Amino acid sequence: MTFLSGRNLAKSYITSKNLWHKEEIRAVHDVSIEIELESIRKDGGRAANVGLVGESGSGKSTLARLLSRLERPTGGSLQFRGEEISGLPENRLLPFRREVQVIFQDAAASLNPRHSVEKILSEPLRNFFPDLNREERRVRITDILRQVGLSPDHCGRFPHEFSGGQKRRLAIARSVIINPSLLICDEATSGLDVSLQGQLLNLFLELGEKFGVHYLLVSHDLPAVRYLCSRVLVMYAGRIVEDFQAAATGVSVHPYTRALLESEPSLDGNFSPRFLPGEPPDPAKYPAGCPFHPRCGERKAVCREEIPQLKLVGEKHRVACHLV
Amino acid sequence: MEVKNLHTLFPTTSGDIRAANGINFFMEEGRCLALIGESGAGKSVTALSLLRLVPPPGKTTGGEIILDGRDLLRLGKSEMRRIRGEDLAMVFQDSLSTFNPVRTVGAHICETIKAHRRLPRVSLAREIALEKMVDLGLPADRVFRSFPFQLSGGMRQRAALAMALCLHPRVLITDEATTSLDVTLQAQVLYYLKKHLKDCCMSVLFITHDLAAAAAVADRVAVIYAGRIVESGPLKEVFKQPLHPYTRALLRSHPSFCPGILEPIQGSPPDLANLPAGCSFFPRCSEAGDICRSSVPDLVEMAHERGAACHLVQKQVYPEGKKAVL
Repeated sequence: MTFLSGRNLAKSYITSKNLWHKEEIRAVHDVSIEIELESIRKDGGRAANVGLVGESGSGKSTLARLLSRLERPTGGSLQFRGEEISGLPENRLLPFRREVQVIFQDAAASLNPRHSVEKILSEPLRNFFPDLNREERRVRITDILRQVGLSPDHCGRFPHEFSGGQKRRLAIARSVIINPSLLICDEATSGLDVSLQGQLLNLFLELGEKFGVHYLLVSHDLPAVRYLCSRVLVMYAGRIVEDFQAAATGVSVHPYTRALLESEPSLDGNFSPRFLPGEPPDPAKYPAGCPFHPRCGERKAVCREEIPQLKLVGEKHRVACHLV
Repeated sequence: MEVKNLHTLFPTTSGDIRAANGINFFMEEGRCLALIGESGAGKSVTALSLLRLVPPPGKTTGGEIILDGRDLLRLGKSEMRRIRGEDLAMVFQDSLSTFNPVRTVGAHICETIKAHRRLPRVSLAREIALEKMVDLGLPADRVFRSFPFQLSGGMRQRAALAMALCLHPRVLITDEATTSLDVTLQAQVLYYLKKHLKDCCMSVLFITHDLAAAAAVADRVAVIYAGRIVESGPLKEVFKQPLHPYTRALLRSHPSFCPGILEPIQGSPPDLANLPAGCSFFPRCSEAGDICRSSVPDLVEMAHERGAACHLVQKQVYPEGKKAVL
């Protein structure tokens, strides 16, 4: 049974443009995605992780929020181990929440400044494992603090006493302490120093191996995604345009994915002047046909009229492009 | 432009924060120098010191900033004002707060031009601004009439770049100018920056913590740690064969430079208010010896155009102790 599967997921927001006009922003549109829990192999757990990349405004964060059921989809279905959860009330989502946890980009803001570390970490345990007594909780808290590279002496401290990197570690500890199967990380390593980012990426791999956690890494940082994930989903204008295996380099065929990979600065100092012209489309008015066609160098007549569907083109490789 | 032994500090009740602690570097015409380091290493303070815009109570306490034979630290306020923008321009990370939100981008750029140049015709400012925008690949007419919030991040950053370039500065400082942009937009900005650099023969100080972006534009690189330059040299050589343990560790922390499992630097950067005695990197350095704990290493020339501030590397290259301090 598929662990988590979304079918034709959609999310649109209604905003008022002015007093009389309303505008529909289609953040995510017709996305079908299946996330399996593959058994973790000994290559550092990378095999099982999924990366979700795209420019800002492409809907990747919204999709992450839909998959973690922090938002209700406005269309489509979301199934967790075969059970429909898109419309479930919060109190019946507990088994889902126990297995799917989220880490946000701004770790500092996701920690209650008035709670001590012990309180922050004991809250998920109280929620999901009410049978544990105080002593057992303490044991697990000490254990997880060591795992994420903090000291058990930090229990009495408050979030503001930690550095940015330590706060991230604390947020990770809070999510991992209940031993979830899937951790959705929304830009969890963005905006950090290289050294810190490297430390966190390695921590993710380590925890993956030890606790069997799988990751859905939402990021615009391609090197980080390549480091942690084996499967990459590329989003553009609220749709998934390509789904491929990161290890198979050169396999990506969608013009957008290729442009994305090419606009990454090369490291030998020979920066190729190729980059994508124009800007991502306005989510309130997508162009007709393929949403990428105004920026695509290889567009044909059909691209202007028909929206391409995600089709299987190879082993574990799906593309939404008319040209393929 | 040459910077010698620059010191900037911020006095606080718990001691002076030495944000720039003897910075030395030079910049050549038509070339780009990348200043890379972790946050809190003193990159931005160095940039602000060059423009003499360090916010009080911070002050630059020593050193020389020589531009065309003049020491900027000795100039009067009005002279410095003229140099800012005209000879020395800066682009900041947050382009939304660069522009005045209630004026159009065009009006803002024209104001900059008029403040510095006596123009025969008023419309000339507009022409200069439009021309610069076209150079940077912007739809000039539309951007000129837009308010900052109407532009996307990449366009706004390029408009900020146009504003900085419209007076043909000798030196351009960009402080994390591409950090908050998407890869595709970052590529656009880097491409135009690099093109302009070649066309106009100016020098660029590219401040970033993104090693990949630095690799894309810079010719030379200076690595800064705890307010000091620890390594400098041609970018390709430094990235291929780093000398200083910090540079090596930094490259090993980045997925693009390190093919296997990452070996990130442990620990965090030192507190600038009470730096460790000796080399400021020794608490995080795996190779540190006794000498690293006691004396501060100078930035010493190791090879042609290459400098490193590390006792261990210096001992290898100059076993008899003969050193040429950069």
